[in-house]
Amino acid sequence: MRKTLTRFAKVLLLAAIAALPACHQGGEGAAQPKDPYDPARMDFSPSAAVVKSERHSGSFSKGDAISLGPDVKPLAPEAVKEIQIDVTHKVIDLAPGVKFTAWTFGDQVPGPIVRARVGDRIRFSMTNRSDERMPAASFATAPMMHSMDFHAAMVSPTDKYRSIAPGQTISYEFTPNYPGVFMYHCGTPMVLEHIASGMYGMFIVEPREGYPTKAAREYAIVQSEFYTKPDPQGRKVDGVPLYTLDTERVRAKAPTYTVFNGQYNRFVDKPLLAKPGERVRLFVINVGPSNTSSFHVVGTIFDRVWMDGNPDNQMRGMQTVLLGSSSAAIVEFVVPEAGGYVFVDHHFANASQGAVGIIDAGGKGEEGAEHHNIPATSTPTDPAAVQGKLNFESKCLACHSIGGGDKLGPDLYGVTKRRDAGWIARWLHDPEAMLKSDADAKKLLEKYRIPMPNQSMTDEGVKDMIAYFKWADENIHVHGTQQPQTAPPAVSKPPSQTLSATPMPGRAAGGAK
Amino acid sequence: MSARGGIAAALAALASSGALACGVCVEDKIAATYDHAVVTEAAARRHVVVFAAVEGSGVPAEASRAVKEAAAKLKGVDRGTVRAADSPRALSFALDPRSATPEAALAAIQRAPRAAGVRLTLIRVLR
Repeated sequence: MRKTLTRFAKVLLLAAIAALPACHQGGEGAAQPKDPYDPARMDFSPSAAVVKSERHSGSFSKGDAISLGPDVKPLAPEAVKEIQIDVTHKVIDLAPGVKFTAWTFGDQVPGPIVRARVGDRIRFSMTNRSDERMPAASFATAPMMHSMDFHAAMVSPTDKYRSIAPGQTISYEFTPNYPGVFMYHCGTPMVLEHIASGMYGMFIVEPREGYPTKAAREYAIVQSEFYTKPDPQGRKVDGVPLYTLDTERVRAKAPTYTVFNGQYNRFVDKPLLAKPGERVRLFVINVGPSNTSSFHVVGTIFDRVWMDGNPDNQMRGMQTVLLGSSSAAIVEFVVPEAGGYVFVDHHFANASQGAVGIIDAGGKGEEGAEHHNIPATSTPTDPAAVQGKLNFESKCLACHSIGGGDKLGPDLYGVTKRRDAGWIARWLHDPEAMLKSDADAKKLLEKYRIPMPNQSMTDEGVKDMIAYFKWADENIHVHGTQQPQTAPPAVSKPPSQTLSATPMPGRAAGGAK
Repeated sequence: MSARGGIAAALAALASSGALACGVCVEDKIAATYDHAVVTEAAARRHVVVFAAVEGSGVPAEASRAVKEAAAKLKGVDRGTVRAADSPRALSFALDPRSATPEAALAAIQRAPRAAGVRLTLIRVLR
């Protein structure tokens, strides 16, 4: 029996050894999927860049592969895609009451969206038209050299990404080899300033076989920072104050605005549209130039996240997608029901600078950004009232509202009309003493049951708070129960001038004391 | 030649592929100090614009200041046209070619006492 077993074991061993090469061969010989990233299948034959002293005229961007807005056109079928994106300097509307001296691709910020497919031939040309007179652009910066750096391309940067002078045109061809959502930007020194001035855009490269899902809506979201300061000469364009690049803020990474698609609260004012049950695909890129985005859509979960826009880099069931500077993703989600779906950079300091938008899927979406407790940015102009507002929002908002109804304590809308400033000051300074001696204070305790806590406020702090209450009573128009209440734009400051703006190191913002 | 023609010729020179320096980032060094007004006015006067890379072991800001001052004092350099950058390190100025060649102008700047240790390499001349 033992002998039989030993013989059997030997046979098994020999069979196994004999099978090994066969297995190995079988592994290679089996129908394994071809590597889509096999360099042998890639095209590394870009054309040499040609620079000429000839210029384009007419429209600043051309090509079937180009979309100008957040609505991304479907992929153009041609295998060769001719795209023209020219450089301009122009004044853009960055926020209500804020004009900004921008440098652009295609005369817009962000630049046009390019959509192609792996293997397509891109035939690109660009004229530096920064020397052309634009309407209102006499305020813009002097003509200068610019360049184009496509992250979607694999080419020699010293050839293709060279800077060209005003009046020159550069052209070259390349073939995208990897699918993704890529940044393009000006690479001319100082690159930081060129990007911070608006010179960037999105380049979508679809996989050869297309995306594995079918989306009902496609939108492109480009997040970026702006670093502004009032024009040193105090100039205005169309009656609106002009702002220029604050190079100190750029270097300190202290933006005054963080926005989607080049404009403060752009998609709050003009929401993107969708319908319940639809699958929405967002091409999202954070072009920085220096900060990170934590992109989130309130009320839904990303069914699929394709990091850098490549379906091979898939994650499921994500709440946010973290995007460093020049990082991108395709996010897809299903709209579960009618409503207004707010999307934000969940770094809420960035959201408060304008990185907020809405996907309007019908129904009760009218409350928009306020629905998600995003702080209103309407702010008084008086520095004391500005400080008072900040103090109120940090110390009082948990128990009080301004026009939103009673909470743990009374609604303070109209308080400066109900009480005189002396009473309010005493109450803020020493509520314990007031509760012992003042009849009105005792009535408040009787009604609300919770004694007003002593906030140890300084004389200055009390003055600021009263200044804010007065401003609110004069300017806020109560509507619904939204919190905080907003003021009309005419009496508000842009966020870059408020204390909520990211302060410069060693320098308080907005005239803070 | 008209002013417009002069600018076109200057731009054509900029478009030429032959670089006088190593070729890496030449355009970036030019862009760092490029001033369209200087180029335009130089072309109108039939002067040239000289672009140079700045090298040396000293503090970049001090070297920039030194070569800028030396260039501004040099005979033939158009007043108010000297531009210097620290990153990338570069120098440019408009020059009357009847006063000096670009090479001679750069050599003279390098000889200035405060510019000791600074090396200037000609990277492009817009004519």
